[in-house]
Amino acid sequence: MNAFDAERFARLAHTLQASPRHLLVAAARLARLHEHTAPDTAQRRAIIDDAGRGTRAAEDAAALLLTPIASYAQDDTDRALASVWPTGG
Amino acid sequence: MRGAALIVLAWNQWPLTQRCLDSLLASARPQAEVIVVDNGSTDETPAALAAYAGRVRIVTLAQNLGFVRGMNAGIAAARADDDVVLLNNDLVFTQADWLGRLRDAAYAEPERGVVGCRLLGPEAEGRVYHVGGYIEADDLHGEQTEAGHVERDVAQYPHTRRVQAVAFAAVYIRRDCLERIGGLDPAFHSYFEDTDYCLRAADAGIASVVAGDVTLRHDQHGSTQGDGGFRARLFAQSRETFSARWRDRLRALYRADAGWHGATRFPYAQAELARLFVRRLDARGLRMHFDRSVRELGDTQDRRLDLAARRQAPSMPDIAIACGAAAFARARGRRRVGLAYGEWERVPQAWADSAQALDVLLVPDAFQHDAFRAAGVRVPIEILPLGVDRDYCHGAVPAQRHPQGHFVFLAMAEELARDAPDLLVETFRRTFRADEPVELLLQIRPGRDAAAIQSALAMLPANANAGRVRVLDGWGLPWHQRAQFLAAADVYVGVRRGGGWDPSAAEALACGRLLIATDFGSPGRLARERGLAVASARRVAAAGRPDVRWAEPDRDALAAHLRRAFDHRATLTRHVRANAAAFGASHDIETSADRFVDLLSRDGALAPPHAPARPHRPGDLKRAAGGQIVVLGMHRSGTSSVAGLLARMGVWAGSDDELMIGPDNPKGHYELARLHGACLRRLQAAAGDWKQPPATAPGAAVDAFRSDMADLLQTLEPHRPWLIKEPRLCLVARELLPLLTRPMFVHVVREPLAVAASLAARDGLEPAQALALWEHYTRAAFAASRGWPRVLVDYAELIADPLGGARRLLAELGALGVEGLRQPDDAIVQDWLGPPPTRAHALAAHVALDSSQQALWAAIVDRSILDDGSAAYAARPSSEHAGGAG
Repeated sequence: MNAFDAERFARLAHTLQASPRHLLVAAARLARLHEHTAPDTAQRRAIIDDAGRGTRAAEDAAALLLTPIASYAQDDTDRALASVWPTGG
Repeated sequence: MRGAALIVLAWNQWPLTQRCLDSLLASARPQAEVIVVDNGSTDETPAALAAYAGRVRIVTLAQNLGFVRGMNAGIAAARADDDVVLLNNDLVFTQADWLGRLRDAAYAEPERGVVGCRLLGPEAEGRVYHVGGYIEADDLHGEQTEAGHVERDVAQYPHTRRVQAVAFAAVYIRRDCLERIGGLDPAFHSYFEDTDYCLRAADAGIASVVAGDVTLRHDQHGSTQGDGGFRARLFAQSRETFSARWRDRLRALYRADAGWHGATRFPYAQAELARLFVRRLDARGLRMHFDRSVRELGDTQDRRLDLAARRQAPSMPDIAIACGAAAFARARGRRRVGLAYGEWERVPQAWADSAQALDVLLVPDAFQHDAFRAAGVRVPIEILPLGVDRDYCHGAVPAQRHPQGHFVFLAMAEELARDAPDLLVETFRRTFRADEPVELLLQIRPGRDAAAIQSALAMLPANANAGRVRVLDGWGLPWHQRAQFLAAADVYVGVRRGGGWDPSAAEALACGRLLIATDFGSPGRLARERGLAVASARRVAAAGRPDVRWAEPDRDALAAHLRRAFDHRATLTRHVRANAAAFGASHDIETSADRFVDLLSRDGALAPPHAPARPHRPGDLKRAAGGQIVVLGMHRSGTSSVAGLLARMGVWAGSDDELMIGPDNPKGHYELARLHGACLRRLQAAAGDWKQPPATAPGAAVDAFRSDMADLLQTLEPHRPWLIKEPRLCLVARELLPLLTRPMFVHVVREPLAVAASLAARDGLEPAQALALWEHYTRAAFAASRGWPRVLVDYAELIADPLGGARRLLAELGALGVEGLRQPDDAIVQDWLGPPPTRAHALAAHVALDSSQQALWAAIVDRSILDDGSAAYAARPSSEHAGGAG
């Protein structure tokens, strides 16, 4: 996550009255849920509120996402180019 | 004859040792002996090693003495004159000619003594763990790369370069270095001994370098894994020893405290300045601390930047460097320096006002100088040309290419108004058709304008038949891969409204990519001189800044240049690729950093620099020349006469049936036919000959020549003192140095016009060509012998006074310790050297030496060329092509 995204994310978390970490956990759950059906407002609120009671794995994933990018992984030029030049052109 | 002892230290972990030995024995090892030191192994190593006994020499130690004593035991076992190569047993020799290239690097300069190489880790994709490093004075944390990070192998650091220290996992140490400072210091058991050795070498004027053309695989710490904390204890002990010896000295190298105020991420160009300069200034004696002038995450991808950010800034540093006008107000120091560039023909008034607080403002070029002056900046403004990091940006950067081989234009957008990506995309789409093998790759850099750029592009009208545009959005690419990204394209397009410094423009040129940029501002100069400059339609008010103007690129001109680049792609890309290396050399960031320090040094802001040790010279060692005499001189300079004289003094030149006699020298060349053949093959293998000396040579050509010569030298060694003479040796004598134990050089010189006249008569050479060859041969010859025992014989003086000249030469050789010589009878000397030739060749009266040749001849006449630091060793000014690409 770059500095700008981190700032936007912090603002969004503040607006939703959640911590950035809990918002990340919630986002992951929402994304999974959204594969089947779009949650309504109440469901979204419940997921966000519940995110504070996330599992250890979810907490670890959130911690990873909140780590400065190059400390754990970097984008890579080969992968970037492969995304615009997939095999077959 | 000198060889090399390849010393592998093994302690248990036989599979590692076996893998190491098998790959080592499969590599080329001319004139080398493999010595395996079994450091008290208790596993199957002793028994398994026995199977290698015919191919390696085994030194068995009763117990594990540690890395230092184990290696010292190997050094002690090596033959007396051999160089040594210390090798960890967790190496894999993935490059067959590694030894030849290390030898070349070791003997390229007389002061070199310690040579390391690039080391990759075990990962399949290739990761660089070591390219020569440094140790910082505060925490004594040794870094294995300049950035301090493990990076993907993108062919970074391809050039041989001097470093503070190299890892002794794989290191070539010249014998004269060992004689000068000894082996590894047993005060260290393991760890820090390599940095200690390199620092001790530096104290003796011996340089440590990394050979950029040698890459081996090294499984880091594979040899001491699973040791129950043993390694950690050794590390702590050695660190303490190192600290006591070096910490204060390392700290004393700093000449000043300097604060850098800037960014490491965005704006991108400003961030690049921090990445380029903070570590280089630190390495040049400025104790840098870093202060972020914008909000950003604290991950710099550069350990020296991290270190600078962690350091406590003094309340009033000696120097404050504010990078970017926004940081000018933060510059608090005894000397306040700004480093900035603007996007406009005149910078905003607020910038000019804040610049008045500076002592000096540094700008990258004349455009920026004028832009600040136009806004009323009154403080001194100095131009600091911003160079290219050649360690990362060069023509051999590996890059992924378009899968269908399409011609690729690359552009990067960070700010919508400044970078005008919508203008470029719209123009590109109408310039090309979808069915043409060409496309535009546009990277939207992560930043504040990313969403706005996306929106602007989305609003452009779609046309299925228009030229293909691909957008790479949301990718923050590692800085060390920036050249890889540029090299994936054929053309870098920097067509913008803003005229600010764009590092990618110069980096693209250094990578051999064509540059198209607006004919405005800092990139405009590069585009005019080296690429395609797009005219600007008019000056327009900058977005959000009505008081300043930048340039609106002319869309039709842009379209024309895009089309031209594509239609003439073969010619244009060939041109820029051929000039990439020369461009990089003439725009080297290291030169910029030197100039930076020079500018900062003004007004006594820096303490005087630490005086370096006098450069080491092998000839300084207190030991006699060993009777290996190399006679060097240009064709038609009298080398045959001098070689014949030496033969009459008792120097072995070869048996009569081995020596050549030709019509141009009926009395004999004193030139071995095998030597002559080896020289011919060496030049041919590099696509040259004596009249067209090749500038470089493939490693295989050098290795083959050295192999030929090793065989020949073996036949001469029983006859010391012996001589070898061949004019072509001027060009390749340096390649022999790894084979010669205590050589000395006899330079035979002759007035260049006389040489040219003789070449004109014998070979029909034009005078200008003959003089150019004389200069080339002569410079190469003296450069090859620099630092080694040598004498100079002036052919004209010798012919004018054969007896006096012969006596002087004999005395000089004797003073250097050459034994087995005798004074020939006067009659013999007179008979050999006299009478003077009655027929002298002459050139037309108007033929004259140019200034470079005059300076070289003057240095020969006054013998100052024998001074190793002579200006005569500076390369002749190059005539690099500076014209535009088209």
